[in-house]
Amino acid sequence: MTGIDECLVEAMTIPGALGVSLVDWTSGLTLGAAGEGPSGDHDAGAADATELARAVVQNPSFADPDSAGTLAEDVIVTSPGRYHLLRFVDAGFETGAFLYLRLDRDTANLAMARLRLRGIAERLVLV
Amino acid sequence: MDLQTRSPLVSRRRPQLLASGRTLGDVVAELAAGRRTGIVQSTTGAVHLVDGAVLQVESAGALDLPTLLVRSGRIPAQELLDLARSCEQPLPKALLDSGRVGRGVLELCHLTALSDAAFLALPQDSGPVRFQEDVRPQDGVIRTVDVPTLRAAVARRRALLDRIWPCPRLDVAPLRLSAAGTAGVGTRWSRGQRAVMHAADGRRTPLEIARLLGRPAFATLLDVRRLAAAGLVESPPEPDFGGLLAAPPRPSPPAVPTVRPTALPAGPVRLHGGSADPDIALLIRLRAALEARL
Repeated sequence: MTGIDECLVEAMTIPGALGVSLVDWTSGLTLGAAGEGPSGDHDAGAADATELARAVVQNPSFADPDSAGTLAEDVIVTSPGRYHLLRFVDAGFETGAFLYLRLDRDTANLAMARLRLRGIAERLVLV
Repeated sequence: MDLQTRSPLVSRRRPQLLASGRTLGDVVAELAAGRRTGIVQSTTGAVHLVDGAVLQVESAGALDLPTLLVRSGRIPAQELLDLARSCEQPLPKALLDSGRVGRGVLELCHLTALSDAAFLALPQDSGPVRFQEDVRPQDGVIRTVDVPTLRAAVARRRALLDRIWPCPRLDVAPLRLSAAGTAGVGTRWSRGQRAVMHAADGRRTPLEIARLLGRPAFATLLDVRRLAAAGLVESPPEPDFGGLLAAPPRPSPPAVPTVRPTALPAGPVRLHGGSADPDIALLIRLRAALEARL
């Protein structure tokens, strides 16, 4: 029984986590947020991350061949100081939601963070 | 049915009739700035406010929470109907206690239904607006959204539609396949987009297709614009009144189905040609049962 806020709190326990939000990519609406947003603004970060998510979702090149439209799972952006990790949430209906986690590159482990965020995204839509 | 007779909720004040001529979003923003609590009702929808935050939005064209839950496969419609009839506590709590629906799914369904209804209702010219002060829904608070945040999201959705294919008439006119669409569709299109093409029979509007498929209105309109941009679907040409051989004019459907100002805008599902889906009939009964509980 994990709600949005519990999931965001858990995401903030991932080593190196700076901030996390749950975003609707069809509108850029921030459905929930924890920690710090980019430049202190979760909503602006959500709007920017939405552009990225949309580019991936709407272009079939990013889906597996013969996958009948199965979505991409993650989007990963690295900069010298940060990891930006987007994880799509599959709720069984068209939420268009994704988790957006920003990590401090000095203290984060990208592979582990990706696995942890996957688990959180799955628990969010668990019965 | 009047809200007062449908609802045991106690309001200390009589409903106020607010000035019209603005969008419902404008009226809601003004009430939210004053941190008001109550239900705002117009011909395009209803918005529930608690301390200026949006708790729920209803619009006749949008999917509601029960429909989304059933469509997501979380709970069969009959089981949800039984639960709605028998539970003595608020339905969201009963759903969580039943173990059939997790809190995350409930919150996501709620926010999806809320933003879909806001997308349809808020930008419309409001007409007369009633505000019933201090009415609090008995079903409790699942999650609220700030009005400025919600309005910005609605504006981004409208802009996204126009960026894909700037033809708002597509949203309200009957949808049909173009010559290219009739010839077939490639595998690059998603299941949802193929379903929209299958339902485009030249009579149903995109909102009616959304209801038929049990999909959010916005997601369906998004697919319609993408398919139109690819030249696969189109709306019939507008009647040419100047020509002698013009087709007889047909009334253009309203942007959202009209709702009586005194009724909650949650009308029965009406589709051209009916539906073979037994879930639809069950969902209508479910909605009636839920309204009876309010």
